[in-house]
Amino acid sequence: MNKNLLDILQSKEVPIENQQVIDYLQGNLKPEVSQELEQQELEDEMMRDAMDGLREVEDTSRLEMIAREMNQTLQKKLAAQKNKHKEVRKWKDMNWISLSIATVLLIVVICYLVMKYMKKSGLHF
Amino acid sequence: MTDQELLKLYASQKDQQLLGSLLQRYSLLLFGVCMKYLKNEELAKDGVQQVFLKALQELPRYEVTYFKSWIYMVAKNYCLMYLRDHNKHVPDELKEQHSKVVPEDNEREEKLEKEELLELIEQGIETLNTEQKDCVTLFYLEKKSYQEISDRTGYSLLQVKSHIQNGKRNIRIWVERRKVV
Repeated sequence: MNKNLLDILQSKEVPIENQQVIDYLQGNLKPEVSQELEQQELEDEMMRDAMDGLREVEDTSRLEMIAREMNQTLQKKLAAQKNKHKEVRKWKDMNWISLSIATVLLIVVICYLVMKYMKKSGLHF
Repeated sequence: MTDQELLKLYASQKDQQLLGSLLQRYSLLLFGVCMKYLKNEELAKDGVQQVFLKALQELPRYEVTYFKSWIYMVAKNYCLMYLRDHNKHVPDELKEQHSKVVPEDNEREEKLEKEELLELIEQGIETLNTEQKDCVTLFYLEKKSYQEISDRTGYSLLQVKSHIQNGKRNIRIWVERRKVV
C-alpha cells in the first residue's frame, strides 16, 4: 500500500514564504514543488482562501509589487507607532517637569503668604 | 524562527519590529484572503492594512497562542463587516465565524493503525466518482501538480482543484464513518 495516501487525511500548518507563493502563481516552480505547495493549500484553510483570492489577480507579475507595497505601508505604520510612543513619553516627561515646577512655586507662594500674615499679625518665629 | 517563537521574543523584548517581521510573513496570504471575499484589489489592500493595524494594537495587549488562525480570523471578520456595512452579499463560508482556532487534531487518526487507515482510504477512493478518483490518485499517489493533471486529463485547473478538494473531503467523511462503526 502506498503511504502517500495518508496525506489525504493530513491537515498541518506549514509556514509559507511569500516569494514561494508568487513563484508558484507565476508558474516558476518545478512540478514537484508546485505539488507540495498545492498539497499544503488543500490542508490549510487560510491558504486555500488566500490562493483562491490570489488567483483572481490576472497579471501575476504585479504580485511582487503588491507584496512590496503592503510591507512598505506596514513599515510606515510601525515607524509612526514608534514616533507616537516617543511623543507620549516626551509628553509624560514634560508633565512631570511642569508638575514639579508648579509644586515648588506653590510652596514658595504659601510660605510667602504665611510669612506676610505672621508679620502683619505681629507674630514671630 | 516559528511564529510562536517570534511572539515569545516580542513578549520579552517588546520590539515592534518583531511584530512587523511576523506580519510581513502573512502580507500576501492576507491580501489573498481579502481579495477572495472583497473581489477588488484596492479594497483588499485596505483590508490588509486594517488587519495590520488591529494586530499592532492587540498583540501587545493580549496573548495569542495560534497566530496564524488568529490573524486569519481577524481578516475574515474584517471582510464580513465590510460586506455587511456595504450591503453586499456575504458568502456562507464567511458567516461561519468560528473557524478553527487551533490546528486540526490528527490524534484520532494516529490511534488507528496505519495499515488499517490506508486500507480505509483505499476503499474510500473506490467510492469516489471517476473525476475525483482520477484527480485524487494522480495528485496523492503519483504526486502530480494541478498543471500536470490538467494536461493529462483535460480538466481545467479549477476543475482539478475542485475534484481533489471534494474527493479529499469525501474520503475523510467516509473514513470517519467507518471508524465510528
